[in-house]
Parts: sequence; C-alpha cells; structure tokens
Amino acid sequence: MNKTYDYIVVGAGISGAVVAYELAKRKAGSILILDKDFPTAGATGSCAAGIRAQFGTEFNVSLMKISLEKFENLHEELDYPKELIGLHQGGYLVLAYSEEEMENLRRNVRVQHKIGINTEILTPEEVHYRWPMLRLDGVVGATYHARDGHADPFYTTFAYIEAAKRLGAELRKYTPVLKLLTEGEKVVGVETPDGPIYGGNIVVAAGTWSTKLLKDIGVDIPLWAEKHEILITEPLARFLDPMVISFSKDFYAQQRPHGGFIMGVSPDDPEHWFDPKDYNIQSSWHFLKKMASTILEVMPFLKDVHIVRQWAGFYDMTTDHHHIVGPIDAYDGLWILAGGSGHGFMFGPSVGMILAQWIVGEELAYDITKLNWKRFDEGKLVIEPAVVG
Amino acid sequence: MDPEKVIVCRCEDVTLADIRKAIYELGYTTYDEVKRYTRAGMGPCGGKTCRPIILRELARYWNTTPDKVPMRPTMIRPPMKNITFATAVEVEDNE
Amino acid sequence: MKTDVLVIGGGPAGMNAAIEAARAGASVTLVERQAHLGGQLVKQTHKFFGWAEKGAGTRGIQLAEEWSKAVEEHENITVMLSSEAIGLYDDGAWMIEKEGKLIPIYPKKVVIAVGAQEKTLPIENADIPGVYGAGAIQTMMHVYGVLPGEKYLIVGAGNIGVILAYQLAQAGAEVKAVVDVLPKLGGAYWVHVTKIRRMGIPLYMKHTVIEIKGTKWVEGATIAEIDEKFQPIPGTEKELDVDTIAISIGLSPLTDLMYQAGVELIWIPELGGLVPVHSENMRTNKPEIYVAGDASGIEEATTAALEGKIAGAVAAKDLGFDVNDEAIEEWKKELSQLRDAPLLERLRQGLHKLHEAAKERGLQ
Ligand SMILES: Cc1cc2nc3c(=O)[nH]c(=O)nc-3n(C[C@H](O)[C@H](O)[C@H](O)COP(=O)(O)OP(=O)(O)OC[C@H]3O[C@@H](n4cnc5c(N)ncnc54)[C@H](O)[C@@H]3O)c2cc1C
Ligand SMILES: Cc1cc2nc3c(=O)[nH]c(=O)nc-3n(C[C@H](O)[C@H](O)[C@H](O)COP(=O)(O)OP(=O)(O)OC[C@H]3O[C@@H](n4cnc5c(N)ncnc54)[C@H](O)[C@@H]3O)c2cc1C
Ligand code: FES
Repeated sequence: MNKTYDYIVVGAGISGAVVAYELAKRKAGSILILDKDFPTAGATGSCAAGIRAQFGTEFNVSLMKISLEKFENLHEELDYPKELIGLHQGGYLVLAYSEEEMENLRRNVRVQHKIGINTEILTPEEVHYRWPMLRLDGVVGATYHARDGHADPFYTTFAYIEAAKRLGAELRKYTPVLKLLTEGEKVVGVETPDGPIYGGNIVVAAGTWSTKLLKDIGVDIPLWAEKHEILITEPLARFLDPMVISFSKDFYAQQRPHGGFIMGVSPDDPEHWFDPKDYNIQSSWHFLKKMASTILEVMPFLKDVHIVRQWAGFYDMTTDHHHIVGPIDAYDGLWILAGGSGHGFMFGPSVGMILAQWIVGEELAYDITKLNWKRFDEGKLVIEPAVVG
Repeated sequence: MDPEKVIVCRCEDVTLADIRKAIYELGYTTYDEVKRYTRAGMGPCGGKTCRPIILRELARYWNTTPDKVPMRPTMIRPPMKNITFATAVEVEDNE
Repeated sequence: MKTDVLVIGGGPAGMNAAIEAARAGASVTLVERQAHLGGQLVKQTHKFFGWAEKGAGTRGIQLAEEWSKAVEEHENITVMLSSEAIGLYDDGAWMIEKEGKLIPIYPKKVVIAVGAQEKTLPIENADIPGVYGAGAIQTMMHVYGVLPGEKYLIVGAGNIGVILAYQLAQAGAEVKAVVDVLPKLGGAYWVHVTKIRRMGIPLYMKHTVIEIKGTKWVEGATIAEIDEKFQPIPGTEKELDVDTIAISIGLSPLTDLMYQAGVELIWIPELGGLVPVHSENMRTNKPEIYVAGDASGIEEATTAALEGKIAGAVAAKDLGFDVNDEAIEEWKKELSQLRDAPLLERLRQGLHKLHEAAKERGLQ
C-alpha cells in the first residue's frame, strides 16, 4: 500500500526540484517527487545552463534579478559545494548586427537599468578591446552584463533535490506517472506502474511531457517540444569569459569552467511535438554544419578545435515563450510549473520559489499570476522581445 | 589496491572511489546518473574507455550483468570521433 | 551518397562481406578508418593458425593482401580508406569522416564489422607511460618498427598475450613474466605456449599484477598469486624489474555504433562482454543492420571472414539480389567445424547463449 502525501511533484528537472525544495522549506507537508527517469533526465540535463538578466521586459528582468540573487547564494542556502554548483559569472555579451537590433538592445538596457541590472552598452571597438579574439564583422554594437553567466545544471538540480530530501521530501526515480487521478473536480493522486499514489495537491513539473499528462484529464495547454541541438568541444585553457550570443543570428557560445566550449544555434523550422510519442531526439548533421559555419564567423580561433559530442534536447515552448505557472483551476489541488521556453533553467529558482509561495498562500516575492494557464484563451499573452530561438 | 588511486575515467580524472561513492553513498545508481554526477564519460573519448568499467561496477551493485544496467540509448552520442569545426563545415552532400 | 550496402570496417569480416554482397550484384561502399585494408591481420607476421586447409601456413599479412586485392578489383565496390564512420544521424545518414571532410552515406543495408577494442585494467597507476595495450605495442613493433621498452611484464596469457611475448622475445626484448588470473591456459594456442616456454619466459597462472611502480614512467611491478575470489594472497608477492607493461586481458566488441543505432546488446563474457544479439545469418533486431567478425563476438580471422561472407550475402539477398543459398549453408558448416576444436569449449558456451537469445527474439 502506497503512502498518501500532501504534495506530489511530477518531474525532477529544475522546476520540480525547486518547487519541492521551496515547499519543504515552508514545511508545507509531506512531499513526494516522482520522475519517470531520474533528476535532470529531461531538458534540464541537456541544456546550456546559461543565466542572464538581459531581458526586455520589466517582468522578466525582475524575475531574473531574483534568480540571480538565488544563484549567487545557492551553495549556502542548499549547503552544497560551491564549486559543484559551478556558478560562473563571466557575463553575457549580446552582439547586435544591425542598427535596428542595437536600438532594441538599448531599449532593453533602459528597462534593465530601471530594475537595477547594470548592463553596459559597448561599441565594436570596446568589444574588440576587451575580447580581441572575437571577430566582429558586421557587429554594430553590443551589450554586456557582468553578473550573467552559467551554472552546472546537473549539480544545481541535485543540490535542490538533496536539500529537499534533508527537509523530509522523498524522491522516487524511475517511476512514471501514467495518469493523473481525479475525482469529480479534484485531483486525488497519480497512477504509476507500482499502483496509485494518493496526494491532495499535485504539481505538474514534467517539462514538455506535461501537455500529454494534462490532456488526458481534459486540460489543454499550448506547450510543445521543439528539438534544439547543442555541442561541446575538447577542453582548452580558459580564455573567454562571457557567454556570447546574438538574437538575430540565433546562436550562443560559451567556455565552460573545465575549458570546453558549449554552443547552440536554433533550428530553421522545428517541428512542434505535443505528444511524446512523436519525439525524435536524434542528432542532425545539419546542425553540426550550421553551428560550425555560424560560430567560425565570430570565433575563428575554433577552426582546428575538436568537437567532442553533440546532442539534442527539447525546448519547452509555449505560445508566448513564458512558463505556465499556477493553479489549473479546472481541478482543485492541481498546479503547474512548465514551459520555460528555452530559458526554464535560469528562471527556475525564482519562478519555482514564487509558485511555492502561491501554493502555501504566502505573499509572492513578485507577482507572476499573469503566467496563469488561462492567459492563452483570454488573449492575454506576455510578450518578451529578447529571446534566442 | 586503493580505489582513491585507481583512475577509471582518464579524460575527466575520476577515480574508482568517486564512482563507488556516487553509487553506494549518494544513490546515483544508473549509468546516466553516475555520468552526470561524476562527469565520468563526458570526456573527449566519449566514455569508450571508462564506460565498460562503470557498467561493471553498476552491475555489481544491481547484482546483474552490464547489459541490464539502466542506461538510455542516447548516452552514446555522435560524433564518435572528435572532429574539428573546419571539418564540420565541409559536408559533401551531393545527392 | 547512396549505396545498396555500406560495410563499416575493412578487416577480414568487412572485406569478405563487401566481396559477397558485390558478387551478388549489390553496389557496395566499404569504409575503413585506417589508410589500408586488413584490420588486425596486418599486425600478424606469424604463421597463421586455425584454418587447416585454407589459411594455415599463410601469414595473416598475406591473407589480408589477397582479400584486399579482391576488394579493390571488384567494380561494384567503392573503397574509402582513412574514412571513419562517426555515427548515425536523424535523416538516416551514416556519417563518414574522411580526411577533413564529412560524407553522409544513405545505405539500404549496413554491415558493421568494426572489430574489437582491448579491455583496460582498472588498477592504480595504469595511466602512466610504459603501460600499453598489447595492440599498441604490436603496432609500434610491426607498423613503426620500434620497441617501447626493454623489460616487459605481460598481463593476460590469452592468444594475444602469448603471441606478443613470443614476438617481443624474438625482437630481442626481455620478457620477465606473463601472468594470468585463470588457473590454466584457456585460449592460447599450444604452439605459441610451447615456444615461449622453450624461450624460458616464465608463465604465472593464477597471478595478477597488484602494483605498478613509478611516477613518470614504469619503474617496476609487483605480481601476486590470487585466491578463488581473485584477491591477492599475502606473502606471494614477487617484484619484477620491468619498464613496460603490456595489458592483454582480452578484447571486447566495438559496439558504440550499434548501440547508437539501436542494435540490442547482451552480456556474454565468453564472447568478449557486450555483444550484439544476432542470428546465424548475422541479422540483428534492426532490419537494416547486420554484424560480422570480432564486432559480433570475439573469435578469429578465419571465423570473421566466414561471418563476413554470410552477412554480405544475406544483406544482398534481403535486398532482392540473387544469392546462392547453398554457399551460405556451406559457410555456416565451415564455421561450425572451426568452432568444434576441443580448446573452444568456452566459446561454444558463449555462442550457445547467443543463439538462444536470438531464437527467443525470433531473429532469423
Ligand atoms: C539545447 C537546450 C539548451 C538550453 N539552454 C538553456 C539555457 O542556456 N538557459 C536556460 O535557462 N534554459 C535553457 N534551456 C531550457 C531549459 O533546459 C528548460 O526550460 C528547463 O530545463 C525545463 O526544466 P523543467 O524542470 O521544467 O523540465 P525538464 O527538465 O524537462 O524536467 C521534466 C522532468 O519530468 C520528468 N517526467 C516527464 N514525464 C513524466 C511522467 N509522466 N512521470 C514522471 N516524471 C515525468 C522527466 O523525466 C524530466 O526529468 C535549454 C534547453 C535545451 C533543450
Ligand atoms: C596479435 C594478433 C594475432 C592474431 N592471430 C590470429 C591467427 O593467427 N589466426 C586467426 O584466425 N586470428 C588471429 N587473430 C584474430 C584476428 O586478427 C581477428 O579475429 C580478426 O582480425 C577479426 O576480424 P574483423 O574483420 O572482425 O576485425 P578487425 O580485423 O579488427 O577489423 C576491423 C576494422 O574495422 C576498422 N574500423 C573500426 N571502427 C571503424 C569505423 N568506425 N569506421 C571505419 N572503420 C572502422 C578498423 O580500423 C579495422 O580495420 C589475431 C589477433 C591479434 C591481435
Ligand atoms: S575515459 Fe572517461 S570519457 Fe574518456
């Protein structure tokens, strides 16, 4: 006979890990985290783990400011080795390739300054002076925010899970939720291969898999999976600090603490998969070719560097590229945190914490209620101009 | 033989002691988890050298044979030989 | 690039697969990562063993030359040397890296005949210079004409270890010991064992290396007798003054390409560890993929060649080409004769497990 829990969190990516920890920290009740595979098995484990506050709306910049502060203190809060969480604040360097693009970046920076994010605006000459190894053909300007960076997605998630466990939460790996169980207007638990597990509140944090789980109980959300690819090189001595990205060329590239360069470029016309049975996670050589030709224009020094591995992961896209968060009020006790749209890792610590506050009825650190699941039907999309892909 | 000194993954400098700690003390009990927790297998050789040893360690833990150790098919990733960026742009796709 | 049959690996298995598929009329592309065909055979300067009527007496190198000539002369075969298969991509392309270029190949059938890799020994200090796989030493010796050291310990007394001991001694090196964990010799051919005994090379059974000395380079080693649980028995240690350690504790099939392509692997230690489940016709659970040679289970050049023939012919047959079924049956018969040798009991046990697994899965 399975035990009954106050909270069942479905999915142990960054989203589920943060929510579980923040609920446990608030002594919300008994918590069970379930994953069909293991923590970081989904998008979180395939992501580039970039963290930036350089967004274009007050909303996103404010949330990322909270996330950054979280990341900066995570090792203390979660009592986990700092070097493992691996926060490296080498900044994000955003390159602009046209006047119009630069104008947008300047507008974003004005928003960022208002929130206390001190992004710099740089001329191509200034960029060249600081990072002479970059080739800047066609670059008309750039912005740079030194507190941006990246962390280790595996250890960050593991750290949250470990901390949640210390606070009493339980983790069951390799236990897929086959179906959410409902009784009338209420969720009552989940069906698993080991039988039903009952719980009064269910938080769906199953990444791109959330769509199907909810559809099976009659809830439609516009969240789909898109294949995005990524590669990593052999390690080189460290010499490039910032993550270098371009919105118009749709690429990002950065050097990891262990020296390898990790990078991605968006696919031309990705398929939208709503049902996991359609997922295809095989790598493509088209990505390899596009990535190499794109990056050699900016980082010609990579020419003879070896690519060690490539892989694909699923971007968790929504119609307006923002999470879906909050209660799914078609059923009592049903909650969601999913759909980070290619930046769900960096938003995880803030949005996950605020969802926990929402669940236990605390005051929200920042009002994210407009990310509710009904916004699509009500035509209240949340628009963000500064996204890759 | 001191497991602290036995290097299992030469690319990422991971010892047998690291692997056993991940499995027995921390509960990372599948190949995918051990790889993510220790970085063993993430090196330039793509795990060619260390994967068999890690699978044997995990098989011992599960009291089974290495083919039955949980491992996802995507754990082996292309390119299986390191190639340069200069090579990656030269795709001869003439059909 | 399109082709009926892509053969990956130009060893005895791959060459013969290419020849038979081409003979049946299929267009064949054979890719080999080395600059020459032949596979492991080119390391073999000793008189060939095994195949009584066909190959024995010939040297491995000579056989390799004969086969590669046949491959190169066949008009249906395109040979790509210095070309390595680096993975299967989402559009069905098998990607080949050839001298700084990538060539996607879209085949109808694939024969994977990539051979094997040496097992490594997880022991302290095994990563310092002076510790090599046996194959690396052979390559240095036969291909580059150099010896990496003067005083050797050889770990593993299978075929390769014993032959290496012999070849090293002949080349003027001092082989201080050959050790093996098994209580008695299993795989090694007696001719070679007798030869090394005659040369005075000590063979320690039920022994293993427990310590490799040195920091920048091997400066010695300690061996010891082991008990039933493979644990060293205190008091039995022997110090050896060596500067090079050759590890030849066996081969295991190279299965990465297969694994990535979704071929099912099972654990059969008698065949080298993880091996692809396949039928006697060399078919796998993936209808487009066939396997042959050491890549399908560790045996010998003779059996690899026959398996290659079968895989190549069956692949062509599955594509609708006219193939002589009697020839296929004949090769299977030759295979079972070769495998019937008294010394090969362990191998037969492995093959039995394999065939049971294939049957269970309904592989034809
Ligand atoms: C190539 C790539 C690069 C990226 N780069 C960045 C970046 O630089 N910065 C950034 O912030 N974001 C990035 N992202 C996006 C980011 O990875 C995701 O938005 C984020 O990780 C989503 O986290 P999640 O926890 O919501 O979902 P996931 O990490 O997908 O976790 C969902 C979990 O649920 C489990 N699960 C699914 N179904 C079930 C079920 N039925 N029962 C039980 N468990 C289930 C899965 O196994 C999985 O572990 C990138 C994504 C990709 C693919
Ligand atoms: C020292 C030694 C002595 C031996 N003596 C004998 C003997 O006397 N009699 C006997 O019968 N057997 C002997 N053998 C065993 C025999 O050599 C092997 O069993 C046989 O060569 C196996 O043939 P194969 O074609 O399966 O593999 P291999 O000969 O190993 O050929 C595989 C080929 O595939 C190529 N390849 C691998 N990966 C890729 C890739 N991704 N892309 C392209 N190409 C790739 C390799 O470069 C190689 O050329 C001996 C072996 C050794 C090492
Ligand atoms: S030895 Fe572990 S990745 Fe290379």
